[in-house]
Amino acid sequence: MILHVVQYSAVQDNALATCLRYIQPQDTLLLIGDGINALLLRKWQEALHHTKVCLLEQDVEARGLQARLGHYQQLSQAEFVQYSLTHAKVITW
Amino acid sequence: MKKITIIFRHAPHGSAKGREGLDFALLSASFEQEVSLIFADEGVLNLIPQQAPETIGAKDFLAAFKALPLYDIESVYACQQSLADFQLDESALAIPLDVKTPKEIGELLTQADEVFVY
Amino acid sequence: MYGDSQIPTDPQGYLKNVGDWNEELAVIIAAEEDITLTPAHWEVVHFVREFYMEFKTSPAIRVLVKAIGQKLGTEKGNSKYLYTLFPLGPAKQATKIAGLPKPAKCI
Repeated sequence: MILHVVQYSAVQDNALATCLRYIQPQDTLLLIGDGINALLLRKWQEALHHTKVCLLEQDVEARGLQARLGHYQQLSQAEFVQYSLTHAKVITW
Repeated sequence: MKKITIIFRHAPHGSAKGREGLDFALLSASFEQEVSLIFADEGVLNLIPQQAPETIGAKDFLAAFKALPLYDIESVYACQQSLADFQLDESALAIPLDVKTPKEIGELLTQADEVFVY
Repeated sequence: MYGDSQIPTDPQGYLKNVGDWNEELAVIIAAEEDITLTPAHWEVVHFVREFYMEFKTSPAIRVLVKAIGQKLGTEKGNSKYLYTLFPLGPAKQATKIAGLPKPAKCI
């Protein structure tokens, strides 16, 4: 069980696409920073439909996206740390 | 001894990522870690033979990929899908390696102790 | 800087440009390391230089041992033999005398 962390904009960088190519069904995807913006695009909403996705709450709030992305699971900093410990490893793409 | 997997997902020369990843791989192997390498996405462009990075003033770090067996780095993989995307011929790559499907690469990542992406 | 010529080095005495190297310079660098170069030393110095020219990286000790073993035989490809020639560390001293950058991991 891997926690995949993507921090780059999916428009500027292929990190999210590459991560999705290799992610396993039991893994979790955590979007942080500009990585979060991908969920505003229909293409990525659909691509991530069957993936367990969570977001870093403070990055969502900082971008004023709480109303649009409120239905995704969101992690506090403390929960982020906890998640890194409960997963077998973290891969930062 | 840890199983360390290093993923190359960037093209060479445009950034220092590939060189940093290779330095890290050789260093980890020198510390007797079990190192494996995966070339994915644009990272497969590291595998094109007969590159001449010195032509554009870049360091020829690709030459050190040929020394991997001397560092006991025997597990080297490339993503089949990525090779196909860039229309690279599996039989004409710069170094010997095993081609893996995306699903197999996902399994390799699960088996590793630590995964680093460059 | 070595001898009368102005040859740039890093603070530890490794040449900045591999192209500046020649055999006379190797003798001078070796003297600074308290080593008198014998044919056995030259064999290793030339070996690490060829290694660098092929792979564009200075070999760490373990790799040096393995590569020398493959090319010159196991009686030379072992760290005891190499330490006899280069007492302060074969990778460190042989690469320095061969005019190469310092290996990343240096024993």
